Order: sequence, then C-alpha cells, then structure tokens
Amino acid sequence: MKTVMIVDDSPTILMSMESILARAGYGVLKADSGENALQKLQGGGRPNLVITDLNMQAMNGIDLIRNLRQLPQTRFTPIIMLTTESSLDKRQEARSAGATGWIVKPVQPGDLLAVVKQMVPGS
Amino acid sequence: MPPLLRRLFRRFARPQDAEVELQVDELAPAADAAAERAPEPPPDPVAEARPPVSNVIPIASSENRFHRIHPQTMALVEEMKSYAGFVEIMQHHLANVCTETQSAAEDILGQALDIEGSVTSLVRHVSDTMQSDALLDASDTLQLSVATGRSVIADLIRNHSETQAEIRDSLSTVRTLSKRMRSHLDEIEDIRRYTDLLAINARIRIAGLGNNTGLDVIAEEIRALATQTGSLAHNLNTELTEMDRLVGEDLLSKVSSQKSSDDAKARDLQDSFEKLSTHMALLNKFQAELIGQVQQRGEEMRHPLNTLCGSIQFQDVARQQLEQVSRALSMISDHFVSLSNAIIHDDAPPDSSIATCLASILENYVMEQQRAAHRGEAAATAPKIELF
Repeated sequence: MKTVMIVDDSPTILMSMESILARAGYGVLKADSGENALQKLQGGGRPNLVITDLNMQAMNGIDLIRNLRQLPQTRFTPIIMLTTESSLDKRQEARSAGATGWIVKPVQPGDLLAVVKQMVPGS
Repeated sequence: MPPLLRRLFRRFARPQDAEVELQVDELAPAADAAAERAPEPPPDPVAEARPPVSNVIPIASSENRFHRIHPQTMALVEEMKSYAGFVEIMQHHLANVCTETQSAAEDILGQALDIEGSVTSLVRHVSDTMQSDALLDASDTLQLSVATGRSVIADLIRNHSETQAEIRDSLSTVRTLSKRMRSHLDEIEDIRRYTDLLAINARIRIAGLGNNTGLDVIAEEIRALATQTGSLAHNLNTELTEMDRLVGEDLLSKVSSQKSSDDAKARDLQDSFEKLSTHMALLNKFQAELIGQVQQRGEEMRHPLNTLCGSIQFQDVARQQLEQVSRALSMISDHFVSLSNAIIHDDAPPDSSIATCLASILENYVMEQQRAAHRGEAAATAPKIELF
C-alpha cells in the first residue's frame, strides 16, 4: 500500500485529507506540525508522497521541505504544498526549496486524487 | 496632533469645540516651552481668551515636565484606550467562531465517517452472507434437487407412458385372441351341427337294421356329445362376450381415463418443477443483482463523502481569514494605545501609522483574494494546481 503523509495544523484538513486518501486506498501518516512530521519520519516513516500546509506555527511548510530534502528517506520524495496561499512569489520560493507541486485550498477531492496518482506511480 | 487623532477629534467634536481643537494643538508645545524657560509659564494670549484654567488638566511627561490637556481631549484619549478592550472582546468572538466551526466541522466529518463505516459494514455483511459457503451450498443443493426431481419426473412419465402402451397392447392382444376364439367356437359349432346331423343319420340307418344291434346307444351318445359340445360352445361364447365387454369397455376405458389423469398430474408436476427451476434461476439472478447493487451503492457513497471532505476545507480557509482579521484588530489596537500614550505621557509619536498598519496587513495576507479585495482589484487567476 502506498503511503501519503499529510502535514497540517488544522484538524479539519487532517481529517478530510485522511478520509479522501484512505477511501482511495492509500495509507495515511498524519502530522499536525512540521516538527511532528520530522519526528515521525525519523521514527521510521517512509511516505511515498508528502502533502504539507504552508502557513504553520513554528516551522512553516517551506522550512519543512528544506528539512525533508536533508533526510535520506525523503530526499527524492514528491512534496506537494496544499495551502490557501496562491501568490506566485511563494510558489517560486517553495519550488526553490524543493516542492514538487502546489495546490490551492479548497481542493476538489477528484483533483487531489488525480495529482496524488500522478505523483505516486503504481497507485 | 497625529492625523488619526485629529480625524477622531473632528468626528466626535461639536461645532463649539473647534476652538478646543486649536487649543489642544497649541497647548503642548506652549507648555513644553514654558517648562523650559521658567517656573511660571508666560501668559498665553489664546489661553486668556479660553475658559478658566480648571478646564485644562496638567499631565506629567516622561521627563517630569508638565503639559496640559483639555478634558475633552482626555476623554477622547480614554475612548481610544478603551478600544483595546473592545478589540479583545471581538477577538474572543472570532476565536469562538474558529473553535466552534472547527468543532462542528470535526463533528460533521466524524458523523459522515461513522455513516460510511456503518454502510461499509452493512455492504460487507450482505456480500459475505450472500456469498457464504452455507448459502452457496444450500443454493447448489436446491438446484441439484430440482434437477434430480425434474429428471425423475421425466423418467416416471416416460415409464408410465411405456407401461400404458404395453397394457393397451396386451389388451389389444387379448381382444385379438378373443376374436380367434370366436372363430374357433364357430368351427366347434359347425362340428356340433355336423355331429348332430351325423347322429340323426346314424339313428335312421340303425332303425333300418332293426332292434338289438346296440348301435342305437352309440348314436344316442353321439347326439348327446353334440348337444354337450353345443352347450359348451354357447357358454364359451357367452364368457368371451363378457370378457370382450370387460376388456373393451371397462378395462381399456379405465386405462385410458387413468392415463389422462396421470398425464395431467405428471404435466402439473413437471410444470411445478419447471417453475421451481426457473424461480431458482431468478432467485440466483436477483441475489447476484442484489450483491451488485449493494456494492455499487456502497461505492456511490464515496462520491458525496469525498465532496463533503472537500467542502469542509472551507473551515480552514475561513479560520485563517478570521485569524488575520484578529491580528489586524490587534495591530490597530496597539496603534491606538501608542497614540494614547503619546498624547498622555508626551511619548514620541508611534513609528507606525494606519497606512503602515494597512501595508503590514496587506503583506501578511495568505490569499490572493484577500490582497485583491484589499486593493479593490479583481483577483488574479493563478492556477489552483501547479506541478513543477
């Protein structure tokens, strides 16, 4: 089973994303902050895709991407930003940090799943 | 006087307060200058034209200097300071909205997922039951029994028909034999008549030979034999007639009637098994359709649930917007407090202004729509999904 990690400080987003992805047959790893995500990855989590929010307390999504790119298990893992932010500058910043894609909230589940399927071959 | 305070003052001031506004503008510099020059401030020509000094409140500045503020200005400053309390209350409301919408969103999602769990469990139960070994075995056994029953019925009908045909053949043979026996009886009758005639002729001849020849006894015996033969032939004929009647009318009629009745019952039985077989096939078809329908409905539930999960994201979007409004309120509140302190304590005017506050708010928006709304422009249409 392919696994997707969701990082978001909103319980609503974590619940809804988990529901959509689990229903589509993906395993889901949830983290309510960047720090929590890094802890889970250091504890042995190996997601096939990471979907992270941008605006979070303490460690924002772009800082998290920079950290993930330093970890051997996520160096080449696709990372999608899922955020309410839609500015081109921020997109460019995320891209430079190593993001693979950008999705603006709210996203239709069908669109999200299409992206996930494209990012996770064989799913 | 800062522009904002000036605007506020103008907003709350009555026409007769225009003079006071001038006084406020000029009071502080005048008081400061006086404090620097001498213990007693020089007479102020404007102050002489003003109401008595009791209307002016002396305030100690940070450098232990004094400047005076008109009571109406002081009231405005107090009003501005109370804005912090107002903002705090509004922020509590906004925080409550965030908490309540988040709780509601989690409840809605939780309940929807509970429903999905129940439906999924029901679908699995129905599918498992319909496809259970016990049910499949029962269905197979029933189908096998029906097939066996149909085969047995078909055999019975065939055997019964064969038996009926054999009985009819036998009866037909009996009638043929009966006809042959009648023919033989006719021959016997001919022989009787001939024997009787022979006996009569013998008696005539014997009478011509005279008495005591003993031949008349033989002639009499021959005549008696002819009579007995005729009687026997007659009885046989009567019994054959009765046998023909029994075979032809009674037995054949009963056999035919029984055959019709048995055939009808066999057809009914055959029809029943045929219907049973058909209904069994229909039942299996309906069962398969039911499983398909239940599984399809279970699958179809995914779409509205996914849509719900997508729609519920509004709460996160709204929460972020409310948090921004709350931060903006804090910024304005802090700005007002700084302005109040500058007036009351003769602090340096705050570095920020409403314009810089607005610029800061604009810079910290998280959504393009917010920036566009702030600028009064149409939002730029950046793609919602972009893969790098």
